[in-house]
Amino acid sequence: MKAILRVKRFDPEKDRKAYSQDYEIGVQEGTTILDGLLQVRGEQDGTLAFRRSCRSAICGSCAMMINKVAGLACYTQIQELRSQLITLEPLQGYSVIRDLVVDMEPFFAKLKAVMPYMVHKTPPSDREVPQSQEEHRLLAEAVTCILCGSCSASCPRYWHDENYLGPAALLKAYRFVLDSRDEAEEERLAIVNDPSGVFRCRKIFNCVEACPKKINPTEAITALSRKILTKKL
Amino acid sequence: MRLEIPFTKYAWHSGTIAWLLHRVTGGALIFYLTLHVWVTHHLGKSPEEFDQMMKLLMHPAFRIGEIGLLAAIVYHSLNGMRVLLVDLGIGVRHQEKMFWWVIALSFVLCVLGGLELFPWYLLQNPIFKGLLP
Repeated sequence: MKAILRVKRFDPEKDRKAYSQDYEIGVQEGTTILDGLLQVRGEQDGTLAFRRSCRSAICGSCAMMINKVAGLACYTQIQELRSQLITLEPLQGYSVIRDLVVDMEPFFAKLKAVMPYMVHKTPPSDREVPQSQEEHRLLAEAVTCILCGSCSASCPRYWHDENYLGPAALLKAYRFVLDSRDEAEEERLAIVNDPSGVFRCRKIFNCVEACPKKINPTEAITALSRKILTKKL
Repeated sequence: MRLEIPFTKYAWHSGTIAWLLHRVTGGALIFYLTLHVWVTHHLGKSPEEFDQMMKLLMHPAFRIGEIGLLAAIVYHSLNGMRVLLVDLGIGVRHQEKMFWWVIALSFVLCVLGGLELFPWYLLQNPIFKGLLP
């Protein structure tokens, strides 16, 4: 079976505008978009630029727009898309460096803004900090985030508001707010309770559809906003 | 504020449609409220203006527009409740089902209300002759 990858290409050194280029690739059962891209780069066009690393949906490098939906190239099989023509574009809402490679810096800056690490204020004991299974279950889903940026790329709010923290950063804030071992709930809630924080979510649910790890960032965002509101009452 | 309309950038999911309809009906309702204030303002001025305004409001365009108003109110309020439930943490994972329920309920209410609101006398008009049994 054959399929055509219609890749949006842009090289800032040569091109003034982005353009599409078609590549025909061979498809078997189980061939992923990433396999297709590697095939193109290996056999047809060595100048095609894209990020990839693990090929098993855990590094989060190969997120791109596949048929106008953000997702992982390595986690999307061509046959399950049920179309012979597949459009591949760089992630929406990020600036393009080249071809399918986008600048992830603003994304990670927003992630850093919510303090994505465990904060301990009490002096550390010489033993580990225990957490019960029930306490862990609360964050079991949120910890599986691989920071691929698909959710933010799917969010219309994120495209148009460069200050909006976005689903990924808010999910990370939620993950630490819920963690029984963390002691910086106040600070984190103050960060997300900002004009660029949780209350900017428009409940479009694109992030839920886009997440390759089947996480529900909207649920996290509403949970954070409820926490902020109940604290104020 | 810019409108965040994802017309061609992104595939449409039910959430996009729900949000877009909510925006459009919200805007339409703001327009209606302004119109409503304008109408009530003129109603109280003088008996002549009252009659004139009433004549204008009985125009078929307004009568049919009322059905549109009903549709906007019904959808906006029902979807508003869906968003409220989501905000309260109820049924976040069932938002898509909830959206289709909103659409179905809106449709039923609009048909019921529309039958009541529709200016049936228009069908007596000669241009419909032959189309009706």
